[in-house]
Amino acid sequence: MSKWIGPVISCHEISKFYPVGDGLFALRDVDIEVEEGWFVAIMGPSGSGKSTLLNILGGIDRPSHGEVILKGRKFSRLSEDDLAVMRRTEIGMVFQFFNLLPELTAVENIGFPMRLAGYKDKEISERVQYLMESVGLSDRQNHYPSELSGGEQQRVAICRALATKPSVVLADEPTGNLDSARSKEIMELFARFNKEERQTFIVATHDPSFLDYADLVIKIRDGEVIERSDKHGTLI
Amino acid sequence: MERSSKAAHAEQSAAGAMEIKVTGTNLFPLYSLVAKRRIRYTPVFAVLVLCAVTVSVAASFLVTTVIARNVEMFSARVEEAFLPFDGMLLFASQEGLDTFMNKERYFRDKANLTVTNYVEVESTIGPLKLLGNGTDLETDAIELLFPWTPSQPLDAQGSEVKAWVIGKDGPESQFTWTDVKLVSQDESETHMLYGWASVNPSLIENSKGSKPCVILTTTQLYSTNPLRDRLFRDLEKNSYGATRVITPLSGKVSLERATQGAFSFWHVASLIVLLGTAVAITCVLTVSFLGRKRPLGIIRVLGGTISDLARMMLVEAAYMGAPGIVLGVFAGRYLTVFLEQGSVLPASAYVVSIVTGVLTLIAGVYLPVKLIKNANCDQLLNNKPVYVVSNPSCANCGLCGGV
Repeated sequence: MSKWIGPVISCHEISKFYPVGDGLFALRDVDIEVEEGWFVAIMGPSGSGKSTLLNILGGIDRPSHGEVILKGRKFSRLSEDDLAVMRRTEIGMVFQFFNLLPELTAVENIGFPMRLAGYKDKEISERVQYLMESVGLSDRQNHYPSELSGGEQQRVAICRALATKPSVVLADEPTGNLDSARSKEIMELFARFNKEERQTFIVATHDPSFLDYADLVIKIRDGEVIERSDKHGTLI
Repeated sequence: MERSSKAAHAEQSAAGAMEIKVTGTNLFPLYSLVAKRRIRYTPVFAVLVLCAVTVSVAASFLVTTVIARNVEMFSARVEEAFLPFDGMLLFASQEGLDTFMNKERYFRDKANLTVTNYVEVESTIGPLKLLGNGTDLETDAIELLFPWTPSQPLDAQGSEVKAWVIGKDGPESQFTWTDVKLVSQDESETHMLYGWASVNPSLIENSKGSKPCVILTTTQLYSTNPLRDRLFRDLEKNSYGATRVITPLSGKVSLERATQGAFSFWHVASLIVLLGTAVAITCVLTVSFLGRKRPLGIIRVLGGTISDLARMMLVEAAYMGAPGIVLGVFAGRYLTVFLEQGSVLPASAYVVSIVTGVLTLIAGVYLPVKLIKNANCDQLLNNKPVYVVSNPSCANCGLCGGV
């Protein structure tokens, strides 16, 4: 996997059309190329198509037109099950509302994608231990999501997204449901994993503080990319 | 560098669509873990499914026991239907007999018909059925055609047998026979149901309670089994105006009728119970499914396939229902003994009830699994309607409902 040269994930002329009313383009001709180890922030107001774009990049939704290419291979036309199997090892997702499985403990939640991907028990416990320590939740291992605070739940969710060392981690408004102190913690976590593990992140947000960490900022409005810049505001 | 990376990219892009290799790992421990946690998380669903399975298993246990007992009881009676004549038809009135005799031609080559009288009496040796076919007997002679268990030993009465026709106000007419002949076919067996005797026809012709009857003796041609059986079955079925038909097949035919009745009644009852419990399980599991579309969607996002979700649901239903099968068998046993439907329980009851429990579960799990299989990631994660029929255009329209 590390031998791959070129964009780890890219999409070309992606459009998403909803046949409601007169028809609605949630996305129109979006082109994105993300190199390995980049931290990408997708900015834009609510309803601008950020979530749709992330869902399409993660293989949860399908584009009406265009292709998503992960490490040189197209996947947008795969079957639902093949997409699911692909997500096991290639894509990690973090959501605004944490979306942990309520009936499983923190450890089991983090181990879940690893079990699906067929890791051995020993590998799973090592990786889970490492991740929980690095996010500072070693003492919360056997707590259920309902016993954790919002910030803690989001940290567990980040661990879960990172568990299988995916090619890309997609985060949809990861701080949207947290206060500013917790948001800062979460952002720093992203930045740390981005630096230490060269983990590729694509974060959709309307929180401008993410700009400080981003290698690439993509601004979207009404489903169209209106600006690409690096963190210093230099247009690309 | 830039150029070479782009070239490499283009080269690898040309490889086209991604190929997915599914690793052959055993995911059962994961399904099992999720199912157990799920049950602990929302125990009310598990309790409901458990109750439904218990009821269906217990009901089918009871039903099987009753049916098995009915069959056993009637089989016992069939063995006793063993008669001193080939067949007999009993008529309520002379008109009935006349109607029958109009069809005499039908029986010409099949059986010889003897028209005579019949009366039921209480005698000093127990209840007797008198046939007036002893034309060669004296009026004081009686021929006991059958060994039965006399209520009084014959010797105690001397060689005299007295009998009375019992009416509304007690004994009405009295018969006395001093010449008792015993025509026994098989002395070792006792036959409780029929105590038959032949007497002189003139004796009972005008007696109260006397009814016309026809005794059939099959001809040589019809003495072989398949033809005889056909004739008797025909008589049992059509009866030709007779109020009662007695043939060696009577017991068997009544068994068949009774068991048919029993089977149909109990089958309908048990089918209703089974349908009810299957519907109950379907409802419970569907509601449970609808209440957790989002967690199921997350499992899809994390890489669970549709069949993973379906198997999780099946494992969960099995965990919920399996104790119900065991409980149901115990409940069925208790119920059967409590309702006095027999203390010796047939093995078939155990087998049938366990199979029933499993089938009920499968029937109950069918719809929720179908719903799961037709749901895509987006529908689950964003709590959108899911459709029983998998039709992609349905999901876009959504006019016809969906759950």
